[in-house]
Amino acid sequence: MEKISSENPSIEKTKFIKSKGLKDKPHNYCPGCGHGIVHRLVAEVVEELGIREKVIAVAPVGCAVFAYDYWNFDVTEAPHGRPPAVATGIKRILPENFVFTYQGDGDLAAIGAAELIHAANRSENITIIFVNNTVYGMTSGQMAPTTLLGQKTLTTPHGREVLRDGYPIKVCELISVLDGARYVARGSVTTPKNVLTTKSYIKKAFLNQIENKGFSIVEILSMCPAGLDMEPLETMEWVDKELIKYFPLGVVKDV
Amino acid sequence: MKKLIQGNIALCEGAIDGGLEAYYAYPITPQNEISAYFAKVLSKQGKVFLQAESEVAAINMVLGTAVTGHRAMTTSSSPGISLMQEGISYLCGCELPCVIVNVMRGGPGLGNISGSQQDYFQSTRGGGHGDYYHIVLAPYDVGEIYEFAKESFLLAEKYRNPVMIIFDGYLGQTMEVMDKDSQEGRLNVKLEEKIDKSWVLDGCKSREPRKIRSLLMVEGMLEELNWKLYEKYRKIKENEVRVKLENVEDADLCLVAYGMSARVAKSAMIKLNNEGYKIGLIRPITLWPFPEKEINKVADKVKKFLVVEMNLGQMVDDVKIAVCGKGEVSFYGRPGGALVKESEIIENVKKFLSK
Amino acid sequence: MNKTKSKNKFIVKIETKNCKGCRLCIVYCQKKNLKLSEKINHLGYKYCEVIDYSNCNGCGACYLMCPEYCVEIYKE
Repeated sequence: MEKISSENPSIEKTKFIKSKGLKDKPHNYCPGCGHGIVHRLVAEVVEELGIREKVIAVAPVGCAVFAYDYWNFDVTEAPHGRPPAVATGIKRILPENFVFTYQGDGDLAAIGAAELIHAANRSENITIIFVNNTVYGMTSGQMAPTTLLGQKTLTTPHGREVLRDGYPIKVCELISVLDGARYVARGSVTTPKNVLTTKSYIKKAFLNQIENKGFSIVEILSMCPAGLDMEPLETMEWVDKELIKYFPLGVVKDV
Repeated sequence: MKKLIQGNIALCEGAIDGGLEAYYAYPITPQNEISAYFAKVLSKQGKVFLQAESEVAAINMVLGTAVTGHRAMTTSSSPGISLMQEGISYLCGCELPCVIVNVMRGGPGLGNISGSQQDYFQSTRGGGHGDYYHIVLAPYDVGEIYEFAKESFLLAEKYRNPVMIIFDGYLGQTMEVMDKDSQEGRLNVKLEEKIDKSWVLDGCKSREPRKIRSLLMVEGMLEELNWKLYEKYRKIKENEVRVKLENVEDADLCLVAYGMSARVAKSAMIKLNNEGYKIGLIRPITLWPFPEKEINKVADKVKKFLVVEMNLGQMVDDVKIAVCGKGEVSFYGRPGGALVKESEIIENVKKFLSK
Repeated sequence: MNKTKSKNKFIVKIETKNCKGCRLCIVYCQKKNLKLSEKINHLGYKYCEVIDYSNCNGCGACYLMCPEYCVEIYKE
């Protein structure tokens, strides 16, 4: 973290300063939403790796759809769930550029499951940043593919039931069995330590692409206080205590 | 140079000569020759060929390549094109150029694998959500398939809009002599100014970051985009209508048909004219923009129009709008992958004329 | 905006106009040096303030946890 940029001598003494990968514009996420933290981590890694001018990012449909207003590099929109296919179309024609997608649980693990699996299986040389907060935030809090059993949402008012709704999908474990998946890791943004570990996962995943190693995905357990109908601190505690039990943190695969 | 070539392969050669850089598609009959050809040829040329996991993925890969300003194409047949409609709506909303080919088969549902013209509405009305249009080219022989594929990228880039080429499965399978040096069938796309590439995403080196989007939440912005698109569509209507008129000057009746139906209609016209009837043929080459003014002008003199289609009657609606009450419009067609018959066209013409 | 030198050579800068008062920084401050203000900012939130500037050890927890990226820490 120290000495974030060596290019500019005037901030030699900097310890923690806002990344140049972020625009000045403040974002519109709800108080306590984890997207802001993940946006910042991505921007910091982009800046530290010196790839800002090469990045073409793909934003999802969901709360992060406005990511192009917050990141200070090229970003395109994609239809719901299709960012891995859009990223494929970009990376194949411009292999020298750096291409990543930023997707939520609904976008990636429900409507976009096919695109995810096949991009991973082709070992597409792209990186996926997957923000898992177990709920559809943008549409006001419906059940997501990663919603825990018993968890109450707008569409599971009495809790998620196996017989009706099936099980929460463990995306990292699912993707890790594919030979094309090179780096699969799950972090969280619930404590400063977890934030730093998650940043190291993102950095490793980005480096993999730079080294042409193929498909990488980093899942990030995150907070959606509005969608989960909890206070920001309560949400953070819940993610830390309940979510991590079902979605264990760590590097799932690194080959 | 003349050569004997299949419609689907002529499309491939046209696209390559037109500067195709990336091709993405999912297998579907009756157009599988196209991906087989590209699989062999494109990677040898250092271009992108990728078999996608679905038509949904294929059109979004096209979208990905399109945001970088490179020339991308996908091909499919009717059910696959239905799946692509979401992506096409986004391509139009984001104003991205690309080429989409529909080698039409019989429907609805899984239908069959014969040639048909049952996707006229889907193609010309903006088959997905939102107010949008894309140019629809309807070649009627192998030479036109080649020429249209070649020039379609220029047309797409000129207007920053997808271009769709549609023809039926029969024409895709047809083997014909094609002359690449012939001027016939060329679209002759005119460029008043240099094609603008100031919107492409290729990394923000020495420039401000760019974004490509169709989501416009600020009040009034989406309306503004729609009016901008409207103005673009108006320009396309003004500049890009293509239609072939034959023997319309002193005709008592005009046949109106495109693609394979136009071939059968033409041969019916020749036979009828040999019998002493005065029959003309109007062949729309662009289905959108539709040659509305041109047909309306013909209707000043000609009072009977028989529309021939391989469907239950779709283009006939546009012909009625174009004729605008100046004459009578009748229809003959066969759906479900059946080819229209010359004898039945002749029969329908005679019946209509004697009314 | 608060900008004060600490004895421990750390300067904490909080862009209070962007703060949404989520308190993620407050709970992780090792020195319990942060609190919510009594006033509200233009967004309508009580914003985060530094209690004691001299106490900051520059650990960066507030920077790391802030979803609004409105905290910056400089070394003196």
